[in-house]
Amino acid sequence: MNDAEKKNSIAPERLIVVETDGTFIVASEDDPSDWVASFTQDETFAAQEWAERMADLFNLRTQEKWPDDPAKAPPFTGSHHPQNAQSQSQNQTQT
Amino acid sequence: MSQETIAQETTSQTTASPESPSSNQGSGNQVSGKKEDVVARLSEFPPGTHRVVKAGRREIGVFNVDGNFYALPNLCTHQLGPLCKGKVSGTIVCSKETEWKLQWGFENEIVTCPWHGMEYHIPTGTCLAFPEIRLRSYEVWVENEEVKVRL
Repeated sequence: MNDAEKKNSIAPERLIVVETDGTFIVASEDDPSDWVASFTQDETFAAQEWAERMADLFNLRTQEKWPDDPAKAPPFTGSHHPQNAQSQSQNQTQT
Repeated sequence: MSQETIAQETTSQTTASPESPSSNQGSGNQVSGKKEDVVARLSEFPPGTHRVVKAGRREIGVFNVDGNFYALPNLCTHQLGPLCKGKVSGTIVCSKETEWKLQWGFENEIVTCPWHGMEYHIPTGTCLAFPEIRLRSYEVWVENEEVKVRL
């Protein structure tokens, strides 16, 4: 195992957001070509907010070890959420 | 999103054939900076099944959809739920192709996040509710009776 592999096997992965021609790509901080999701901007879709939210949550989760149990998922309060107006009450009942 | 649109966007699929081309063998090989991992024996991975595997630091969901293999990150873009641990099914389609009538479509091609129900088209990684969102499709192939994925 070389140094890079050793680091990868220990350190938790972190994600960043990279913009390319109006598309916001969530990718590995160590290797931006190693991406996991893309969000394409258009008039009605807040791609940047979605992408940044995803990267932030992932980094938070790797630090705090979020549970896999949906019942313990934290509430979603992002302003970009399509059902934001109803999300507070829905999240309390859905999660 | 229409069935036709999703079908056109299908970019990464591998038929479960031992003849799939690859010159690389073994678990953990490095190829052009990309890592490949053995997911399972082909005989242990029948059509209609899927599993979540750890590949490097990342969890990947690997799906056998009617003999074609696909792989997606085990991350829902909504709240990062464990997407690939969700159910695989079809979904209701209503589009120009169905003459705007409700029809069941994409059988065995849709995975639903167990947390809040976001649906994704497995062959393309496209989110059904928001086609602007796409998950990465990892390369999957079969070699020497083993299912392999490349990160």
